[in-house]
Amino acid sequence: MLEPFSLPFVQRGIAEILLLAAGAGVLGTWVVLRGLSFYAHGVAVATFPGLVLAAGLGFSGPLGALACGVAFALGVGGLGRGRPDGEHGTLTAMVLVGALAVGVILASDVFPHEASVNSLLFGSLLLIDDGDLVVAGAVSVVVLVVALLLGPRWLTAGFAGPHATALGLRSGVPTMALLLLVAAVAVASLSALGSLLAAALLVVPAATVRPWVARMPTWQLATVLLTALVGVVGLWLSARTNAPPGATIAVLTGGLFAMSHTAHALRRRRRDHGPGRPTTRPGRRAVGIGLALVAALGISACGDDGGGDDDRLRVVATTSMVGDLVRNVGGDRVDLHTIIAPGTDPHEFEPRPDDVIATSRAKVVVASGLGLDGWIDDVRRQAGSDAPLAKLGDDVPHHREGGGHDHDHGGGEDDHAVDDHDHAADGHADHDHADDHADGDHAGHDHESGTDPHWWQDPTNVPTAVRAIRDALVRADPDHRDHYARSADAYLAKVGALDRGIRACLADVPAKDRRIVTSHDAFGYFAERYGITVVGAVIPAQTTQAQPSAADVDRLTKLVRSEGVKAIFPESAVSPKLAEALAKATGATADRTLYGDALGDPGSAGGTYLGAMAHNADAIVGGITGERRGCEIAGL
Amino acid sequence: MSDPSPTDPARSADGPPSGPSADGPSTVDRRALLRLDGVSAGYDERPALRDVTFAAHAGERIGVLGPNGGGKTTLFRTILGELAVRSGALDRAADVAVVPQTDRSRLDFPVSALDVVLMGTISRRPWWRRASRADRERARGHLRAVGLQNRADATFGALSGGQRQRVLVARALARDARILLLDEPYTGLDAASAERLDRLIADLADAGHALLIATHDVAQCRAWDRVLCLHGRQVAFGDPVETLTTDVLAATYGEDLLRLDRDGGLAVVTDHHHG
Repeated sequence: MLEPFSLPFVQRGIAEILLLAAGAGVLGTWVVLRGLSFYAHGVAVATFPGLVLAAGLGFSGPLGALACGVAFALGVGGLGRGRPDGEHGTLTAMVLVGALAVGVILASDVFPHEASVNSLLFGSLLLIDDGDLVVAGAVSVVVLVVALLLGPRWLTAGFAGPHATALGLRSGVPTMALLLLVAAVAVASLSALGSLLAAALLVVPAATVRPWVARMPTWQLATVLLTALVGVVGLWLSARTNAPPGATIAVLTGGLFAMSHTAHALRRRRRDHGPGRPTTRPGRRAVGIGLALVAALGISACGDDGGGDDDRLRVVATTSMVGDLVRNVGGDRVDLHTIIAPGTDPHEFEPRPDDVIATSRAKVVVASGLGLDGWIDDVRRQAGSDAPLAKLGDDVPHHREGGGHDHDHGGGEDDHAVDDHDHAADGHADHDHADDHADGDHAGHDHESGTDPHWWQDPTNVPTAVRAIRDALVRADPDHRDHYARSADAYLAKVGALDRGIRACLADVPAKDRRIVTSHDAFGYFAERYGITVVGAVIPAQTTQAQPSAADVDRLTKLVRSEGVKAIFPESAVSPKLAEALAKATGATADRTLYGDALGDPGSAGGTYLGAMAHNADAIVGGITGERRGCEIAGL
Repeated sequence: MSDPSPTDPARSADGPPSGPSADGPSTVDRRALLRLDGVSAGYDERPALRDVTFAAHAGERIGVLGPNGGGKTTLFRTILGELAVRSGALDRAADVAVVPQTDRSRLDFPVSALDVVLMGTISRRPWWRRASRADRERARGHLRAVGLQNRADATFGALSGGQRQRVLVARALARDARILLLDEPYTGLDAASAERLDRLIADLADAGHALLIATHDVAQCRAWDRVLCLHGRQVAFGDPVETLTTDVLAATYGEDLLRLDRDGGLAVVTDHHHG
């Protein structure tokens, strides 16, 4: 039952929570007392654009966040000067909305590859590094010292309100210091909880304890203890249930808050009604029910640990795509854990506890590469994994520069591409370059941001990837060398058949009809390989993190009409709404869904790489020919 | 109209003072602690209060009468130094402290009566120094002075209105201020609490404080040493029995309803909640 606490990443998470709890707990009481809860939430959210900028420009995240937080604190503190506590609300709301908006614009238009909106907004308690621990500890020490010194002034200013000046508190410095400290704690909480949940640690525990205490010192002590307890229990629950830790902690604090205030209200009602009533104890019962729920959740989480002790080779794959390739090469010799579930967008990702656990146990880690799943580096570091990492995309023969939808893929260059690389799909070259490149060669940012990461959409890239997987498996499990080699060869024969089949299908479609619009810019490789022109993408970027502007949509609508595009293709892991709206506006169809970044559910047509590609080919041929043709491929 | 002479006609009517100030008026310094000479003050362009000229001496209780918006708050804030004097001269020979209305105070704060009194000592300490044991002992002494030595550790919000008002008086005493400004201290108090507060105010005057007490109770003002009538300007200042004529009250309260009370005096009906 205590097994999660032996995992190194859980221990780091606990250390982070305990360090934060001291500062956040003490400051939280002041935040609640002074009516600054909404401000605390606002300042945490206001750090979001700073985080995006830091990720995009490559400087330290906490620094960018702190700059934004301090600017927010000075702004609210300056503009709100002389107003009573709790009246920062309007200002806070405006700045909060503005900050989120600026962050989204930065994340989608300026740094779409570098900034993972999800982890910036929700944090990742499983990916705590030493820097985070140092920041949390330092901020807590500062908070404790300053709160000890300025506490009486904060108390007096809040209690006396407009009469504070008459008591000799003539400067706004103590209150300004309080606002700045809240910003500092919010920044320190970011790596654990992200912009949107940071307030869960800063506000909710203090508010939960409030009805039960009558003095500041008891309130502060109880809040620190509750924060630490909720953090540790939340992490443990998260490790048992595989839920995201930040959200688990937030839900737990929210539940305790509701229980605390319900119990207090019931208790007060009972007291007001006086004795003579039946001696049921509704308040205590509410607490009891709540504790029982938590306990039940804990016990249900104590199911079996999985993690069979068979002798299969443990492999972690980042995406469903990569996982399918590994499964085809490894067969039943490998015990595969795929991090991104089928049908889920890999651009949005927060690792779950079992991902880190699986990575810590894995003998081989296989990633897609080219910036699609760069988070695997953090996961490996956190898991303490020294298993070899294969980034498949980094070594495939065809790389396509990513550059939005304005690329014009003329028919002429496609023939060239087919001829030039035909051999790759037909047989396997004895020597492959996958192993010649050390990981470090590809750590550069040029790949991350410049190269289209959807390499598998060109089947001639797959043999290199499959051989890289084969070699990695063989190195980790040399006893089954022959098994892996045979499986890889058999699979590559099917990949060759796939490529020939798709080419044959599209050869029957007149070149002028081969024009499509896709959901996001994920099909450039496919288009280049098979002579299709991608007129545009609804999301004009290679990441789904970007959002189209009104001008983008307008331009695309005109383009679809002028180019006579017959079909727009939504993507399985991306919301189809925009594609459907565009289809409605232009008269094109949007009936056929493509598999872009993620495969379909196991067992569905798109559940395997071969199936997904064949499905895409059939869908595209059907879409652009008005369903007069399809594409059936034999030999898969 | 103004008469700064330190006469004390109402004192004897109160009977002998009790409490820590038993030394009596004879030892108290009778010089003026506060002197205003033609003071105009207010917010923004228009002065809210004009031509105020009076002096407050140690040992005096001065009732401040006036309608809501008549300038009582402006006067207090000017004396506290929160509002600039626009013309005239304001001379303070001692520190000033204000005792706010208790029905405006934060009852939800997790503070004891002693904590509240200690707030009065903050301005006398550098920012890095917390209240010392001596500070706390002195604060207990101030609670004793207002008769609340037994409630020092009670939560402020759990005290009665009268007790809270006295805690706020103790907080003003902790500021070592000899000029005390009390803002409608009787609002919301029951008769017994009002009576206790009356005695406390008398004791404070005997101990050498000058007290300005904003009130709407004309009858009560008659028992004090001086009365100051405000209506955007100074209407009258002087001995209450002589000063509080029907004409002065009419000029002070203007349109507000006047009626005869059972002593044949005048009372004022105003809406306290718009102040």
